Amino acid sequence: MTNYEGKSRRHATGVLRAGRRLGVGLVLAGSLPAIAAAQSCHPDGDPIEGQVYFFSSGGSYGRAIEEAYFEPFTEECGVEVVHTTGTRNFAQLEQFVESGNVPWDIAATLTDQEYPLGVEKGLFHKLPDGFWTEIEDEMSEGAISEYGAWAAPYSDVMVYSTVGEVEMEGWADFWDTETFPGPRMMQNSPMSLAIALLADGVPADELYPLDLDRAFAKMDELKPSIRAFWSSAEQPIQGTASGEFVAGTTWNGRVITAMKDGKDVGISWEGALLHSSWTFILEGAPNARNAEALMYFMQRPEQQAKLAEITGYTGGNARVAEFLTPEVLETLPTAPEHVAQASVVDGKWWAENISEVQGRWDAWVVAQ
Amino acid sequence: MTQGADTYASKKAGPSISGRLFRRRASSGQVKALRYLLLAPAVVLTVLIVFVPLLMALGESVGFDDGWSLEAFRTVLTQSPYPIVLKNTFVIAGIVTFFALLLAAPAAAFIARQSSRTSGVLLALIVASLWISVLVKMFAWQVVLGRLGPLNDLLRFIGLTDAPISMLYTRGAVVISMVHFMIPHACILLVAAMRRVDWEIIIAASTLGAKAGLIFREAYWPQIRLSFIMTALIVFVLSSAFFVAPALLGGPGETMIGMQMKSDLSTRYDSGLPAATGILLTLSLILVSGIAVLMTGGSFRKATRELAK
Repeated sequence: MTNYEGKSRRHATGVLRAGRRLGVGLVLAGSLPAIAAAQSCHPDGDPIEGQVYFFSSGGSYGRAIEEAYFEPFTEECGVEVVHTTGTRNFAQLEQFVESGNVPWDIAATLTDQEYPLGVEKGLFHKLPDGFWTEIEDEMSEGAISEYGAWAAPYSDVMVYSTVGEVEMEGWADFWDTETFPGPRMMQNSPMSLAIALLADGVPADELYPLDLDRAFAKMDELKPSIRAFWSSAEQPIQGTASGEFVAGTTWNGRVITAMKDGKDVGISWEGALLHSSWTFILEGAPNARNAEALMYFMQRPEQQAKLAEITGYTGGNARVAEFLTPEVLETLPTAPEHVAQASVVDGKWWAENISEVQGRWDAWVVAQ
Repeated sequence: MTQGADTYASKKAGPSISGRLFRRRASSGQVKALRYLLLAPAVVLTVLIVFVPLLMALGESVGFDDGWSLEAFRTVLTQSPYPIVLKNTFVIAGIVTFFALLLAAPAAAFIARQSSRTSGVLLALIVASLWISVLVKMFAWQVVLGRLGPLNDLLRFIGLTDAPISMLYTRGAVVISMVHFMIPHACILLVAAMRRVDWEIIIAASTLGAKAGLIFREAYWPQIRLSFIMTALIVFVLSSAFFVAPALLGGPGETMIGMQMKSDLSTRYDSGLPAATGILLTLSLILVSGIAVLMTGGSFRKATRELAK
C-alpha cells in the first residue's frame, strides 16, 4: 500500500510541465469545445470530482497513457489521476477485493486469462446499465463489455523474410513448404496450436474450443520445417531478417519496429491472434465513478489515436482511423482492417485448459 | 567458482589465520570453538538458502494433488517430455564438461608454471571475462553463429563453403556457447590445483630417467587428479542447471531441465512438477558427485581434506 503511494505521481500539477514538453498534447486538449468543461465526463451526465487511482507497470507505456489519457482527462474533467506504478499479479487482485482494502481503482489486465478469471471470480466492478450505449457503434466487435473495454491489445502475427524478395500472406503460406521452402520458427507456446488450426482452414470465429487432435496433426505436418521454437520474441525477427528463417510467428510491435529500421522482413496480419488486454475497475474501488468516467474518456478516438502515435498500440475504438495517417493506422493490431482478419484469443478457454494443453505441447516439442 | 576461489584463497588465508591469531593465548579447545564460530555465517546462509528451500521443494513435490503422493515423481520419470528433457540435460552437460576441461587444462597448466606475478595477471584476465553477463555472451553467439554472422563470412572467405550454413538452434551452438562460458571457471579451479603441484617430484622422476608419459602418469597426474575430477564435477553441475544457452541457441532437441521447470511454473502455475524435477536433478547430481568421489579413489573425507589444503 505505502509502496504504491511512494511511487505515485500527481498529474493535476504535472499538466503544465507536460504540456510544455509536448506541444501536440496541449493543442489536442485545447481544441476541445470549451463547453465540455462544464459538462460531466461521466456518460450519466452527473458531475464528477476528486481523484482516481490508476495502476500500471509504468515505463514508457506508463508515460504514454499519461500523455494520451490522464493529462487531457484531468484538464477537461477536473479529476486528478494518480498514477501508481509497480508490479502485480492476479492473486493480489483477489486479496484486494476479498479484504475490501482496494489500493487503486482502475488498471489493465496483464494476460489473456486475467479478464475472464476476474469476471468469473467477481473481482471487477460492473458498469452501470446503458454505460456504453452512446459509443457502442464506434467500437470494434468485442471491444467493450459490462466490465470494461480493450486497453491496448497486441497480436501474434507472421513475420517473413524478404531477403529472397518473397511475399507471404496468411498461415496457409506458412505451412506451404513447397512454394516457400526453408526453416520456420514458432513460439514455444501452445498458442501455436490456434495458428495450426487457422492454417488448416478453421474459420477464425469457430476456433474455440480448439480441436487439439486436429491441431497437433497439422503441427506434425510442419514439424520437419520448424527448426526452432522461440522463447524471446526478438529471435524470429533476427532469424528472418538474416534470411536464416523463411518465416516465423512473433508480436506485431517487433515486426513494425524492424520494418521501420529497414530490416528485410515483412508482416502478414491474416489470421493474427489478437490478445485482448482489458481496462477494468476493481470491485469495491473507492473512486469507482471517477474510474468509470476515466474508462469512458479512454475510449475517445482522438485520445486512442494519440496513444497509437506514441506506442503503436491502442484501444478498440474503430474511429481512430479518422485521426491517424494511413502509415500509423496500418501498423496497429486494432486497425479495423486488421481486427477483421484476426481471431481474438479466448482467455477463458485457455485458463481452463492450459494445464493439459501445455503438457501435451511440451511433450510434442521435444519428441524426435 | 566460489569453491575455486575458496580453494585458492585457503592456501594463504583460511582457518590457519585464526589458528595463528589465537594459538598463543587460547587453549586448543577454545581455538576449535572459534574456528567453528568463523564457519557459522556460511553454515547459516547455506542452511537458509540451500537446505530450507530444498526441504520446501521436497514437501511441494510429494504434496501433489493434495495429500501425500509420489505422482509428480512418476510423471517426471515416465511421462514425456520429462525423460527426454532429463536425458538432453545430462548429455549436453557431459559433452560441455568434456570440452571445457579439454580446453581449460592446457591453459591452466601454462598459467600455473608462470611466476606468481604473471600468473596473477593472467588469472585476473580470466576473472575479467566473467564480468560479461551470460546473457550478453549468449546473444553474442547468436550474432557470431548467424547466417550473416562473421563465422559464416570467414568460412566463405577462406573458401570452405559456398553458401552460408545454419549453425544456430543446433546442439553444436548450445555446446559451443556453454563451453565458452565454462572455460574460465574450469581454468581458475585447475590453476589453483596445478600451482600446488610439487615439481621436485617431477624433476626427481625425470632425473631418474622416466619418460614424459610415465612422468605424467606417475608423478604429475596423481597430484592433480582429485582437483581435476572435482573441477569436472563443478562444471557438470553448473552445466546441467543451464538455462539461457538452450533457450536462446538451441532447437527443440536441446530443451533442458531449467527450461521445462520455467515452463511448468510460468504457464501452468504448477509447483509440484517443477519441485519434483528439481529434487530429481538434485538427487542425480548427488549421485554423480558420489561417483566422482569414488573415482578419486578416496573417501569423501579425504577428498574434502585435499580440497581444503
